Amino acid sequence: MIRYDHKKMKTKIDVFTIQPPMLETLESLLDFKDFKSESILYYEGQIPIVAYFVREGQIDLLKNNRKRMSLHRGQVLGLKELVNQQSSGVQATVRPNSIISFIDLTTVKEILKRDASDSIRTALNEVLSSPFVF
Amino acid sequence: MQKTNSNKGSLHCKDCPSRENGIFCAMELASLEDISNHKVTNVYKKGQTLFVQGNHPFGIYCVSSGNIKVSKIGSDGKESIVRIVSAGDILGHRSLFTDQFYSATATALEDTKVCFIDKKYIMKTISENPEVSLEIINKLSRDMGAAESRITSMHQKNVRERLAELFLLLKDTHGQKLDDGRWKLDLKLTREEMATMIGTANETLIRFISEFKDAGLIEQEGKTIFITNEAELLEWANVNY
Repeated sequence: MIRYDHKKMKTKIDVFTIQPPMLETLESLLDFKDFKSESILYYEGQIPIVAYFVREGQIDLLKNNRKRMSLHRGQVLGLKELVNQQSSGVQATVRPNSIISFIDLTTVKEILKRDASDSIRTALNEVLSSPFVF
Repeated sequence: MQKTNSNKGSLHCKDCPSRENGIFCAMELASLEDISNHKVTNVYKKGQTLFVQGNHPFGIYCVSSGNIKVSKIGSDGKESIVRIVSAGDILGHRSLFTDQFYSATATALEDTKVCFIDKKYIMKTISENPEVSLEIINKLSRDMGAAESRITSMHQKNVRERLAELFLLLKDTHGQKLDDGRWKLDLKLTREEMATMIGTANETLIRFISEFKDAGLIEQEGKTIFITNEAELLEWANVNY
């Protein structure tokens, strides 16, 4: 958990980090994209079109064009918003030379229908039930 | 905790104002319900990009309302507008099917509502619904026809003819027939954007727009252009079909 002071308001931001060995399992299963240059993944007020998972590099989260925090290896972005169809309160920008995995809504729905003992389903459910809402 | 809002802009496919022009127009309501459960609806403000040249395609975009320019940036940093995408059109399908990176950038020209459907779901929908495949083939064929016409115009027509042709194209795609017989072009493009669409310099375009106005082919009120003499514009465009 990370705390940031923003003007007079204290904003609490929680980010879910996938831990080994699930980290390696997901890395072997998910497609990834190498971002050579900076790129906006989604804007403030939008629903992410896929969920993102940082393999290498960094994703910056901005509000009102001010950087609020950065996500690094193993951290997940946008899954909760994608599944719940909620707009994000921040803009997500991937930094140059980052490798980002992604998981689409159809795949997420398929995984969530799997048997309760499925380890990937368990991991996704953990992310979805975590307190952060980025 | 950082708050997020439920998406007020969410749109059911059956209620989409552009459904009749879209690739899912022939589908039954039950199928549309399933699509609605597998898509993400977002509003892109003017100037925001849906995707950028060189990015990886995740799926296709269906435009519900608004206009989007698809442009390429050259090695000199200059922008060339490839086409304008409007309500009912799809975006990103070519890169999706060829599994290539986006070859162009898509930018909202105004506040634009767009639905995104991921690759896995759209491929399943296409395989199960031949009518969707036919609609996509239809769109691809039209795009190819427009691209061929554009190449021909660039090679065979002068700037005056190309500008007349652009006005006629915008009349077909974004024209509103007014009671006084004029056509209002319901799309606000900057002079620079229009210049890139016909492959000329900004100054040249401005000079020809003045010529068109003087000849009574078009009128301008603020940033809005009206076509006042379509028949003469056809002559000027040297359209031979």
